[in-house]
Amino acid sequence: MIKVEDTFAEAFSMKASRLIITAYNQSWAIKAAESFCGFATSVIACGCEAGIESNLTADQTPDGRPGVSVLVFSMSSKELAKQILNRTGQCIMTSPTSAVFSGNSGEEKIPLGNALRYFGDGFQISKMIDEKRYWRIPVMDGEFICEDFAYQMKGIGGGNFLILGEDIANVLKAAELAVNKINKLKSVILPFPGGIVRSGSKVGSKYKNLIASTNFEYCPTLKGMVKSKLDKKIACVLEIVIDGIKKEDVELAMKVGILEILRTKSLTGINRISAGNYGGKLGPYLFKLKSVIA
Amino acid sequence: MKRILLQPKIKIQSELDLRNLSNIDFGKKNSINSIKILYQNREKKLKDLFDLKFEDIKKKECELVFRGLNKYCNYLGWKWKKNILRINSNVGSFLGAKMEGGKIFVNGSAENHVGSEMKNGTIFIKFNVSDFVGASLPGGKGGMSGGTIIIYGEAKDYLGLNMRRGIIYVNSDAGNFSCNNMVAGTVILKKNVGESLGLGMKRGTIFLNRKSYSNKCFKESGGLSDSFFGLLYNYFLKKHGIKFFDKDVKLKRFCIDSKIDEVGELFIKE
Repeated sequence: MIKVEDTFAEAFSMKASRLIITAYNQSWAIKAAESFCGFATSVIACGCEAGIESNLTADQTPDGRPGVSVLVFSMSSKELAKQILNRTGQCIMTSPTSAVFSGNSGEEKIPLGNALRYFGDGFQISKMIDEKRYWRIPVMDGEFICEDFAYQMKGIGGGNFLILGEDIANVLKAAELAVNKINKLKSVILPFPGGIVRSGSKVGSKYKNLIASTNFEYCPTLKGMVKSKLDKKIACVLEIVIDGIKKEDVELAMKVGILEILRTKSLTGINRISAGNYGGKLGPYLFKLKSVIA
Repeated sequence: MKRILLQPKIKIQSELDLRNLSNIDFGKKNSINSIKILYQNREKKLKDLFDLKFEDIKKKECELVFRGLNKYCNYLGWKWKKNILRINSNVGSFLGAKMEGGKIFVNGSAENHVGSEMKNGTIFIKFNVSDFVGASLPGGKGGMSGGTIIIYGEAKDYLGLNMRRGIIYVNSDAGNFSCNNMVAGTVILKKNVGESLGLGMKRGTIFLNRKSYSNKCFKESGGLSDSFFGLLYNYFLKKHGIKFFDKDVKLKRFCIDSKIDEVGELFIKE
């Protein structure tokens, strides 16, 4: 019997944006998207958190080619704009046959083609289609098509739950099951490698310059040395971190993930489901595990 | 929403200036009846020349619907901002000139200067148009700077003269001097085009549904990116129900001679 602890996950407001990346085929759209989302696991040191939201068929994209929808989250508008521009320039524009479009609307603009057009060195062409401006930048395989602006929207970062178990094999299996289920949802991403994080963090450190450090309460090798939250049986903890557009999206993703673990009868060696929080100090969104899965 | 149906009480045989109808307030019956229009250079009230019928409709936009107009009825849709203008007959010159938004449907043909200097909105013409579609107005410097003009029939000369932005689609033939002095924008010509296409063109894009076109101004220059083609294809199909080219068409790109130092381009079928 897996116990769901009476605790809550603590999430915070972020700035977000959705991009649509298209390419000659799905495979190249995914390659461009994966490159864009590389080194974007945590705002602690990456500047943003990004991930693939969903694959898109040709009839779901602006230019009628297969594509991928990507969500990007950051702590400030300035950082979000910087990350989107740099990553689009270095990871999408460089990827063969790629094109990039905004996937959401909003008041606040993030320069995309508007800044990248200068790469065209005067040979760039602007086109207004249906009241949207696109830039055609000449590149070596033809043209890189890029919408003038992406748009900022509100987002939520840091939704999470922890899987506590007796060994890595079973905990990893449980986490993978949850990730597979959550990945089918829209409006959420799991920014960490494979959707799973092993180095859960706490705010601050004994070292002055470090803003985050290991969450010692959940480290099995520190049992007996610190005030641990792990009992004798638990030898492994993995965390699933969820970023989403709305509170309901994050809530649904947590529910779907936790229920998948609870309902899979073949799973063994899983003892508890818990969540990371900072005593309510970090963010305004508190996701109580018991009410999430109710 | 409201719909107003207008039909002339008399046979219009001389110039009629209808530009004041663009300031119509659909909610105010009395003020509509007394809108001033110019007929034979004399000021008349709208109700003097037209029978008006007011209706409530279940649509998102108000509609102004005309019947029985002819080539003397000019300046309809002048600076048109929002709502729908529907003309179930032929119409005169300056239709939708300086238009700023909304939609104009003409179930007939139109004369000169359709959409000249328009900024936004969409004009649909079921049959033919005369000269200066989307061009600059007499004495004006720049042509249309936004919006879309869709002509299902033919267009005569000087189509897109001085055009700055926007899209013109001609489903049939276009005349001489099309796209001359074009600054930017997109023109799609589905059939034949007359002489001197794109003279003095600075930037902008012309699509020509022909396999060859001889013009010394243009030099061969690669192909068309499938993403840009897809954007236009989807725009025409989803927004206007028009198949602007076959999806698998191969297009050859020509650009303005590099000696002229401009980036205007012409696409023709391979």
